[in-house]
Amino acid sequence: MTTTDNGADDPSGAREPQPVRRPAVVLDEHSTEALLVRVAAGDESAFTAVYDAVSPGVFGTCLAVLRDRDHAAEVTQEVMVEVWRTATRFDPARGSARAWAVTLAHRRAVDRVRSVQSQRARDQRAIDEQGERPFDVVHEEVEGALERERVRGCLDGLTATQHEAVVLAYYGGRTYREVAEQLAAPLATVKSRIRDGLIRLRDCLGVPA
Amino acid sequence: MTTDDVSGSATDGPADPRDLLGAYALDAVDDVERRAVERLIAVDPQAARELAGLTATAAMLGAAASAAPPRELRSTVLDQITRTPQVGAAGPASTARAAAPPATARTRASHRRGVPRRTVWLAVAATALGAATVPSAVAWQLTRQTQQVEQQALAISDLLADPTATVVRGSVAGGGNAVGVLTNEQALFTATGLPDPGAGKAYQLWVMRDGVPVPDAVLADNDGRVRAITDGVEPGDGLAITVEPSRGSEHPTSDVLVLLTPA
Repeated sequence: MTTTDNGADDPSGAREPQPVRRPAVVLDEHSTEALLVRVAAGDESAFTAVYDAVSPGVFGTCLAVLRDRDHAAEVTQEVMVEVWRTATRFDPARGSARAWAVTLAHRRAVDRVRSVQSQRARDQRAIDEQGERPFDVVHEEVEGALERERVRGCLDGLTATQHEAVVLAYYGGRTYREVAEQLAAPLATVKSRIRDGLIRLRDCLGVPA
Repeated sequence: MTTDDVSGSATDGPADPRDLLGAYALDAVDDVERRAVERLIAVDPQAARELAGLTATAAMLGAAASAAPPRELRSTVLDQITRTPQVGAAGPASTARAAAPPATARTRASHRRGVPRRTVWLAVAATALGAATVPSAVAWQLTRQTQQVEQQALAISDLLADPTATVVRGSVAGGGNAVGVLTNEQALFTATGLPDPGAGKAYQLWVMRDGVPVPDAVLADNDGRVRAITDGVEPGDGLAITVEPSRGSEHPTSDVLVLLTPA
């Protein structure tokens, strides 16, 4: 029971319960999230720090999807400018600054893949990718190696069909329909492999549900 | 009359957007499907929550592919942003640097109003601004500080420049003194001399609305000093703190240690 220091009785029994707010996010003032909040207020030097913190994740994602350093660099530039331009849309309560930037990057990289590639080129990609694992094509970086191991370990925990669907969709930049076509599987099956695979990854990585 | 089960149809009939949440999180949908999912999460909080978890998971797949971008990209981007306006910004993109006289403080206030209100706010330990107590006079001296401290100071000076600002003081049960600055839209809570809350515990701020505590942030404790600004207040609200598990609580699990209410 709450007591107030002026001795009044707690009136909660007679009251309509207020909608309870989640405790607001406390930001470590040195965190990338706090820096990004400052970027939203126009702070250019905070943006420099945000660039250094998130651009490897952005470039790595672009490289994994586009498989070409020049294209990946172009898209990275677009994404980092978008991070600056739309920093007011970042909500620290919804996730990390890095996750937000990587999500923007993946979307742009996928849009680029789909707009420049003809069907023939997509088919060629499918042939080229057979037997490759996504991490093999990415330049190894010491930083993030631990995180990479965690993700790799959790990907290994997926069933073969879940693994295949998730990797083709995420790193291959394909729609689920394209994945279904490539795997000659029913659409509903591919949709649930992707969803179940991601749920399993989510739980393995300990992402709050 | 029984309805046919269409889920096993050979062609994919009207899709339940719920089935697309995973694909959406991987950007593996087309624009029509994308909009269907976005309509779903706008009305279904459970689906929205599931999507948030899946999106965060997908982001880890990307982050794991981390690679250093070409060095020359950095200066290209840093240069480009100086010429790029931001969405939601009311004023010029560059920030004021020097100590701000009241007129500039008002300009800063209108610049900040252009930034969309958030439920998130910065809880900061008392910094080089150093004052152990907040003076009751409205005048606030900004001295030249690091940019970070300036940002906090500007937020506080905005608050103090607000004509609806009320300053309230109180003693904290168990030790310490608290001061609140309450306006119609924001409130500053600051306290000093607080005892250690104990292992695994922290001070939590509550907004008191008609006697009901609304949970607000857990406060970072810097040697017995805490400070926070919240915009989750309405006219007439008060501020209170309790000691809670450091994770924070939805309802107070211990006694209110100080209650600051506008007169």
